[in-house]
Amino acid sequence: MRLLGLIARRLVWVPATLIGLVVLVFVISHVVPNDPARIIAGENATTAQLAALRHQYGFDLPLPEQLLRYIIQVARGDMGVSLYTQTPVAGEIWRRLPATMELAVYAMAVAVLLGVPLGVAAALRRNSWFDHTLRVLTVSGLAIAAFWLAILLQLLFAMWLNLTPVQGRVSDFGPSGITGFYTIDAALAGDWSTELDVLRHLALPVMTLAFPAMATIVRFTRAGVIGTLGSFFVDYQRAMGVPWRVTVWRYVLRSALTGTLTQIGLVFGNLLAGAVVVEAVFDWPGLGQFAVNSILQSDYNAILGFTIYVGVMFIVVNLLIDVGQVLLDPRGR
Amino acid sequence: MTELVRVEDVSVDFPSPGGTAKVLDRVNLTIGDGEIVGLVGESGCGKTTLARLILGVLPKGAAVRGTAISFSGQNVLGDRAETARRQLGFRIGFVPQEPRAALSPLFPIGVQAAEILRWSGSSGDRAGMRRRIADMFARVQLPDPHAIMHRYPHEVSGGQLQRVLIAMALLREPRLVVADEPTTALDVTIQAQILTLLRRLALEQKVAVLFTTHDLGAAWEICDRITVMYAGQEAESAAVGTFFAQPRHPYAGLLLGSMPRPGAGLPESITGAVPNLVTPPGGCRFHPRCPRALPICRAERPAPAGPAGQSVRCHNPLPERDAA
Repeated sequence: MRLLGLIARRLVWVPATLIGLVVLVFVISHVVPNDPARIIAGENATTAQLAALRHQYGFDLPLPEQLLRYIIQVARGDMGVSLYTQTPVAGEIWRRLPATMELAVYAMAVAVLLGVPLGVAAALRRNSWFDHTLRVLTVSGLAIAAFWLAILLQLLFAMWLNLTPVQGRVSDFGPSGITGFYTIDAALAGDWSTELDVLRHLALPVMTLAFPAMATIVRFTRAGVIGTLGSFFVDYQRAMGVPWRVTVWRYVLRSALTGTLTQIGLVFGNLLAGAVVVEAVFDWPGLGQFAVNSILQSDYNAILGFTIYVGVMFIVVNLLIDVGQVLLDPRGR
Repeated sequence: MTELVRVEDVSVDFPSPGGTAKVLDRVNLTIGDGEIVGLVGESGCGKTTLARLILGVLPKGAAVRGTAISFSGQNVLGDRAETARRQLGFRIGFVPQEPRAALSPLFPIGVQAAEILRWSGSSGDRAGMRRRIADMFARVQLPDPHAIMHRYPHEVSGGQLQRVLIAMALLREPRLVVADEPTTALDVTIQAQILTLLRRLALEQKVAVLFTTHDLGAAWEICDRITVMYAGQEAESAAVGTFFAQPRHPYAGLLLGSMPRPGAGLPESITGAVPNLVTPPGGCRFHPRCPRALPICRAERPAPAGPAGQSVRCHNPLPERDAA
């Protein structure tokens, strides 16, 4: 199958991209004038203690050797030990991953499911009051800072209307389960009161993350649909008796989505960046909080690990987008 | 011959950056049942606009005025053309100039053909529809009709794609096929094949054809009647034999004279250029370039006149030659 061949050809490049990513992250973190040994040892450490620590962590080795060791280590799935908590970084990331993924997946789903139809509707009613209202909303979505929106939503829905909790991921304990996605684990366990509680906790952070993502998707879908509506095949189908709704929702939308899909990669990147802020505001036990803590504590291995995680996410998402692009547009095959 | 389509005194204006373009000016056109009519003229003379008017797909902002656009005697002027035609059950097949642009690049050819068939009053299951499409593809002489249904437009040559579009037009079981410069985008060797195919199928299916072209030779090959347009006005309409033997409108005469003929040396070109349609000349729009122009030509557009089967809109037509 041609599609599998294409995926295989893409996968060949993944290891090379990953090594490039690790080298880049490693170099950047080493040009920063920051001595991790001093951070671990504390302010009152003696020179001898510092030297011992440097030797213990391998900081005294030549830089290329440190880099090589790090690459081999990462390839084995070991991102080193957090300088602060002394726990393995990889384990910590793995443990927190579901919380952030659950947030990102729901936000993305909301953004796409609302953004695409709204974008089409705006394109069809171009320059109507609906289009103008939506434009104000989308510009706001792109302009409003996530932390500010988060606080506004907390005030409105949690404090005044009392519809949702202010922060946190669950009221008592999360459902035990395999996926780590509370919504799925609770549903699998048939625990509907926990499910409802989890959904109420999800609502505000998902809204905060979905709003700017939706804004981008609306804008690109609208532009794509308007562009495609000018295509000759639209007139042709009309002359040949194909109903307008069929032409728009089947043929025009598919053309427009090829453009929107490319944007989703960028949107997803913004989503991960947004998650750092949103998790801090909503006290969400995910990777965003982990990143903030690591940076504040200059936890060098943890920062490296988090950066590599973000890079891997980008590689995976772009791979999925490439595949989706080919599924949508046969000319790429 | 019963009248199938009648366009009577219809004008179409387009908004344009320089002002309102008067693209069609009180145009008359009739197409008889089963008749193949050639609409001939230079680029920008309004033939595509007239074709799109009949198809009901004029660009947004076009203003249509006039007496009648009727299909099988039913006037639909002022109605939403597509809806009105659907209510009449009057289906038109469209064969456009650029076959590749008429298809979405993202769907297989068979899927798009099935879409046309589904909305053309056809009932039947998927297998039946596939069979009908494959049969029609075979009739337009596409090699391997079943395989081509699974291909995407970019995997098929322009000539084959135009055959696909002819098949799609005929799948509708239309009363009329509008073929808008159907061979302009194709190689010369393919052009003749496509034209012959179009004429043969039209005669077999007893379907009328409106064929727009700037190529008089192509019109001569396949048409029963020719209507010549100039700058948004129709100049002359006559049976193909009469027209080529004895054009009466000076523009038609010059157009024929500009046709290259073997052994006749370089053809004569018509001096001047097609006028700007925002501020067109008054009266007969051809008068600034016309060697036979009279003072009245500037002021007044002549009414259609002429013997039966021929309609000439000229104050000073070319003299009738004696049969020599």
